[in-house]
Amino acid sequence: MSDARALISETVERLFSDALSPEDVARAENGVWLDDLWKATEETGLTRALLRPENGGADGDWLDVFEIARAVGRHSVPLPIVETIVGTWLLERAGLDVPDGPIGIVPATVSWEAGARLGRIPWGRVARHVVAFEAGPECASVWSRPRGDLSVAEGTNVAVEPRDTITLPDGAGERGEIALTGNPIHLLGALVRSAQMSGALERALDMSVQYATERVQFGKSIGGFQVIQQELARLAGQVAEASTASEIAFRAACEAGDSYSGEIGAAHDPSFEIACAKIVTGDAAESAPRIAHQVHGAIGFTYEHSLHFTTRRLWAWRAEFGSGDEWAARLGSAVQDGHGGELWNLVTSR
Amino acid sequence: MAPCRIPPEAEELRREVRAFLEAELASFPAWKRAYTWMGSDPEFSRKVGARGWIGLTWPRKYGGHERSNFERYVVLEEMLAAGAPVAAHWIADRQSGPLLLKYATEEQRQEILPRICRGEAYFCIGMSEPDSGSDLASVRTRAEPTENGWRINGTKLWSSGAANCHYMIALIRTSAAEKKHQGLSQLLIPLDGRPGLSIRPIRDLAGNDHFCEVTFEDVEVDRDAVLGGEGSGWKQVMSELAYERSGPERYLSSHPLLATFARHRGAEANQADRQAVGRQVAHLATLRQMTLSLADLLERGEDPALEAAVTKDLGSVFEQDLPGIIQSLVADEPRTDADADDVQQILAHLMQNAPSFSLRGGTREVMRGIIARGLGLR
Repeated sequence: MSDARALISETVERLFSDALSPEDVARAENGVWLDDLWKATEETGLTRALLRPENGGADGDWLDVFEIARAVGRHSVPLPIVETIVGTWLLERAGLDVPDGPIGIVPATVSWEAGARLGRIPWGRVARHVVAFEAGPECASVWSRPRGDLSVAEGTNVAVEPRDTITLPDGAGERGEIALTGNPIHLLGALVRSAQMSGALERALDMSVQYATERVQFGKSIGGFQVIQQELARLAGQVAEASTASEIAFRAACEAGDSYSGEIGAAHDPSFEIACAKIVTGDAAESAPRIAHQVHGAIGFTYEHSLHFTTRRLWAWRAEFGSGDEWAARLGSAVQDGHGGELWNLVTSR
Repeated sequence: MAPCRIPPEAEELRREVRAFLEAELASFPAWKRAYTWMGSDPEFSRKVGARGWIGLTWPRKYGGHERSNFERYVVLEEMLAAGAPVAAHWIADRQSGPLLLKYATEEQRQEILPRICRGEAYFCIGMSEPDSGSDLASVRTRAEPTENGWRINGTKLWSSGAANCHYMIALIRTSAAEKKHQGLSQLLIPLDGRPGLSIRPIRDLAGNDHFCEVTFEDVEVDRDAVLGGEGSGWKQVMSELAYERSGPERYLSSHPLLATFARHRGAEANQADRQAVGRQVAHLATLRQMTLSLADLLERGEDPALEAAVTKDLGSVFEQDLPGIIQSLVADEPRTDADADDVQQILAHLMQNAPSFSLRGGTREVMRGIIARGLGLR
């Protein structure tokens, strides 16, 4: 790990462990915006991690973002930090102004016109700007518009994180061209979710090991029973696999060319690794919460215990920016239709 | 486990290995590829040796080639992906050679290592016994000192390929000790038909005879048969197991099935086929990166026993699940008849062999016990 990356990892870990309690996460579920933590995050420069210095950025790379996103997942941070990182990066790439404040990224490709429905925007209700991607016959566009008084239809995911819908009254907004033809919001959204899931999986493991060490039944801590040890070992394996898959995807994003199409298997295109990461972390998000809850027993099923902040996020995030099945079908199609050559050739060429 | 990259010189080697395999295996039937690293062909091993691809990382003075662990990794994964019959030299190259490099006498090294590198000397492992499986430290085969060496009595079991091997390295009790992990030594035993030695192949459920029972009745070996320190067998075996558990063979055993299925379906694949192939490729690519970082740890001289256990556990579940996943996508029954297609034939072989994937090299439960210890639970 580079020094810069280690420093970022340490900084975010300290920030989130000091300034965020389980009560705060619960307050956020009740609609409270954690403004102090958001301001601290912005002041630390995390939301501009990828930007060039002239845009007030830290000139970091995607592996720095891996550390940030993993910490966001590990601590169930109820703020649109990773979404804003993706948003600012797109705005800079499209040559648009990069404003302060939370950015609401629109997951699906849009037609930016009156009546357009911008659905499931993470934290849309508190976003200062809305950023969307529009495909085009010649070139693709990034759109940006202050949320201002646009009306928001509020929704949530199963972790009660805001997922809001905005209907455009007109086609006003700033437009910049971008040299990425596949929807980069969908792609990079999947990337950051994989890291958040990897962090949440680590937390599920840590909490489960801790609980198994403390909880006594039949006269000994339950972690002393082989059946519990075997399950926790399985969980640890899934955490290790998820973390590897996600980190490899961030490395591929670092090494991606300036323009890429999102075609799985193409050179200098991180889509192959991102697909792998979303599938692998999504698979772990199915089995890991089962093990964590089983080990915790009934107490882990209460609202009072904080395990659910982690497990409900895993269930929500695995379905966002493309489910594992969606990415698996795309990856499988790249193999079957031969875009990536023979299967083994594709795997070893990465 | 930090991700790492295969250096360019190793990628260069990949092209050479692929060209070699394409030529050598041009008429190698699909079902034989299903055996992957359990398929044995001494002639093939000698050809691999002639190309300089056995003992790749060992010193030149012992016939090795002083190349990196990454180059070795590339050779291994290409052989496995092609389903090449590597079994004859596999164990010698993977763990017996490195063990001899560390602990054998200079004379033993000079005599044996060059033959391994040429693909001429094959090794088997003597760990399990009739009453000692996962509880390896309970082994009872014993060696007593004699005037000139040692006299061995006991039985070793599940020694793959023993009937066609030239040597066994066995874990043997050389002195009575209070604790079962003490008093054990590793002995180098020539399987040369000496008196008292008998090797009996055991037919497995799929009809293959690769693993064996080896019995010792007053078998005499030289004094220098003890490798490393007398009594340090347990420690040596544990570090040997990191080699045994960390390689790409721990997730690639079913690869010929996935590759053949994908090739057969081609662009005709339906949605379910595509999802299954995509999902398996995602895990395959990730497991590959994990084993690659194990090669990196070994290259840097570390002992990745815990990381190897994690990867082997994941890998063996992956390769064990594959036959069932593919079977659910094909209408045809698995069968080995001559008129069956390649997918059917490979399926028939692999689904029968898959139960062994989470047994050999340490059971899944033993792997998970090691991981649990790493988590601080035991």
